[in-house]
Amino acid sequence: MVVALLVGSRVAVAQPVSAPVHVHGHVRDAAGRPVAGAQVTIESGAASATTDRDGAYAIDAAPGASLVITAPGYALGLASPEAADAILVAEETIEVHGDPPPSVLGTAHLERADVERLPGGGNDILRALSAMPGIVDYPLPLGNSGVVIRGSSPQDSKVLVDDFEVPTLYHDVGFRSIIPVESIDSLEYIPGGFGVEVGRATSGVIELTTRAGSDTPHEQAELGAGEMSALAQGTEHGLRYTASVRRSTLDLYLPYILPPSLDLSLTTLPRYYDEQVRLDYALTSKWTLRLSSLGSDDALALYASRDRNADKRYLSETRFVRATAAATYHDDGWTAKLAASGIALDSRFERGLYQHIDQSSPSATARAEVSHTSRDTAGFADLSWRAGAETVVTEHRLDLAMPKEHIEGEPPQTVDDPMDTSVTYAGAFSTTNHAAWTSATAGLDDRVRITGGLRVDHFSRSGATELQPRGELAIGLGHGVTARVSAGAYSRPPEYQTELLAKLVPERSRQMIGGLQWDVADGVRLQGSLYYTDRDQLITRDEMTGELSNRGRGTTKGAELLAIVKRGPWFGWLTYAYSHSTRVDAPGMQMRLFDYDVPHSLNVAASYRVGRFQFGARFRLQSGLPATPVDGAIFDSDANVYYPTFGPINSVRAPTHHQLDIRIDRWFHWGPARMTQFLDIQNVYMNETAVGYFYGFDYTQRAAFRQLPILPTVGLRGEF
Amino acid sequence: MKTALLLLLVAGCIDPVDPAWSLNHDHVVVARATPPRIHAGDATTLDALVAHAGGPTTVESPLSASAGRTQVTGSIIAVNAPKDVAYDTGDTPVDVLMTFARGTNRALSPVQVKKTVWLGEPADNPAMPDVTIGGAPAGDALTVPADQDVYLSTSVPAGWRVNWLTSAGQLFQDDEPTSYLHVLPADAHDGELACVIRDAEGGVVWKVWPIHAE
Repeated sequence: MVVALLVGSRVAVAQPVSAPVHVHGHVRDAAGRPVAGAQVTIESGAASATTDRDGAYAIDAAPGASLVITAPGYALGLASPEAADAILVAEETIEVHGDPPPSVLGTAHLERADVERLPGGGNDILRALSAMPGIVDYPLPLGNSGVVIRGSSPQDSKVLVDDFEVPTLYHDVGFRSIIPVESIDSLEYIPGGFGVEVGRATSGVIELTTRAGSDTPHEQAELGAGEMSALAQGTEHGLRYTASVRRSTLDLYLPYILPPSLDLSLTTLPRYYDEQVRLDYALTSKWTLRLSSLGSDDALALYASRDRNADKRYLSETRFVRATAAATYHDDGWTAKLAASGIALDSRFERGLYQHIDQSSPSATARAEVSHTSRDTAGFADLSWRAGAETVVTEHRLDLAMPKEHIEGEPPQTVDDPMDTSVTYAGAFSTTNHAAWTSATAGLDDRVRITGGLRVDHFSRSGATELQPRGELAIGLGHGVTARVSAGAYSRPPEYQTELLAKLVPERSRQMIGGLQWDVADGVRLQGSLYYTDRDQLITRDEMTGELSNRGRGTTKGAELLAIVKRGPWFGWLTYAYSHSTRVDAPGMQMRLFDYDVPHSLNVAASYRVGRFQFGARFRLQSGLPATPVDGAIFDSDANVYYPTFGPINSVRAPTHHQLDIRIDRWFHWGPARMTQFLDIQNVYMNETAVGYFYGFDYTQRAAFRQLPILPTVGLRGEF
Repeated sequence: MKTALLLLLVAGCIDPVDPAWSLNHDHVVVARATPPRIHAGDATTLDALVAHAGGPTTVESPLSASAGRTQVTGSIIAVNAPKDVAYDTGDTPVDVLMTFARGTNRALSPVQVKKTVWLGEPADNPAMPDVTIGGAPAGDALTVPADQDVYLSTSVPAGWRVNWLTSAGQLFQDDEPTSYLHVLPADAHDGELACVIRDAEGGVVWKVWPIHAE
């Protein structure tokens, strides 16, 4: 763990005041070590200097000028000729992980600073993910995970925070991520081909690592357009701590911006809270202990009528807390991780007089993993292996009366009947999912590395056991180019309403990925990959009987390109993804597109830091989503409902969308505080492309859900 | 997802469509069988209240009708329930599928309408209950103040459903016995107001008033 502390010391100020003075200083990190190669620039850009091996620099600057200090791996620092011996505390925490770097082709790894500077990201993880290759970029979160990877279904991908799943990535209100960017250390996006240590997903995985406490106390507060947050971190008596809390502010001003013509009566104004706590303590030189907590609380209640008629009531409350205790052991190539995590989830939904969900799902997870890395063993250049096991026990207490859950590929539920309670359940059941895995990676020589592993999942609800072999071959081709080929089997259990049916077995996929990774230069990486995913046992609903079964099959094939540039003041990002996802819902049925099939997706972003400013822009282009057309409708006069008749499933497509996002960051001092101000504007030229369609009450009018015409996000952060 | 739709609506990201309470939109408002419940072998007459974009509502007969045992006689379409079927288990529904011209725009495809006629103990359509507009009993023609809420109310037994429709102004709580009409300055100030009531036995009654806002 290295925490950066930039120290500009002994800054000499000469006379007279108006003439440039010769400034001497030093840049050091938290441990007092000199930082060599740091750039010290006068804000106006008139001159710059580079620190030497002792961290020393010299520069001529006018009195009152600001000196901007940048160094790879450290946050931006500020100094001035007058601020002799000024101590500049950097916010950046660089955690040195014991694990090897991600070995999966196509993985994108972003540090917190990268996420923050991504234009169009609005300092939000969910929005930043839209820049990843293979992610379906949609203005609303999709499914419970919030994301769709490689055109499959939202349930096929998982979001992990410090190795454990979270029930949802976003707040129901405002669709902000449940974890602010300030509380994470890094984000790893793995669109497919992930290792044996991750399971219960058939597409991709997003892994978030929370932020560990810094060496020195550090507090920050942030006020944005829709929320406010505070974060504190530091180290006390060897205990590293990070604690943050956030609250939405939408409820404070929403009553004033809602048009009076809305037939609406808000009884609980939409609001959310979230919290993140992480404590790290080194028990011995080999054992470290980490305790963490992650929580979220959303609430909204309203009547869709002025008179608060009970049949127009709508209530949504979701709250969860995940608490984790993890111990890690490191010694001479051995690593052991032991973790226990519990989650308390309560969710309540009510609509009108009949539809409701009252859910309480406490869950406990125990996880253990051992790994060992050695060199020159058994004739291999290097050899590492890992073995682990995990048990997840969940008690589901559920009182439910709702319409049938929408299954992938079904036309949208166009007839909105508030009395529809086709699915009812009141009771409790428990599920126990066991998993065990092992893998080994061997360097056959300096160029060839092979990984093979096996994961076994047992799902108690269905009694199914899934064997999932996975492996990868990596061959160094020289000049920083590595060729990689991987293949693996994956599975995920039924979720939500489909979990009520014990007869349904896990969905499965088999993924094959091949491509090249080219480390062009320091800070410049280029990846290209081709993939093919075969899926079976997909859960589908029989058109005639309405019964759910595992009769579906599907395939996804595509290609992805990812280029990242992180050099000096430049940050560049280029992704292109091609994907084609099709499925057959039952033997003999016609092949159709997945609901989230997106053939083309392009993201180009660049950001440049100069002085106290950072400027960025991002262009994105994406094919529209498939849709099922309505051919006509039959009016049921007694029910006063028009029932649509549909054309072929997903046989039309929304138009291609493109937009430009820009971002400006500015740093300045305000008293003792280091302030960061940002303006992030999405869809600058207001391209209001249709992203989906809906119909009027009698299906003679087709209308569109459109992209937000322009979405500015502003924020002001103070760090102390 | 419903929260999402709500917030999208607030954010104005959804194209506008005509609301179900609009009489300024070509559609079949309600179909009626007179009477709605008949003895097996008797006849009932079918018609519908049809709204027209830019014009007044009309009551129209179906262009065609079919059910298991429908007979068409001249311009009157009737459901003749057969006497040879035993209905000793109580009321039996007969779904009649009809086609109506959708509004005044005959180029639009005809709309299909399903209306259930019940065979069993005969019953008539209900009588129109009293309706108050702005606190006063509704007359034959209505004049309401513009740019303010106008209270619309009727009283029906439990299980009956009320729908209000208009071509002048905006309606709130249009599917409740108590509704509000608000005619904004930009809205049409002349049009119609309709109250449609469906009882719990398949019966239907409606009343349409010309309305003027000033």
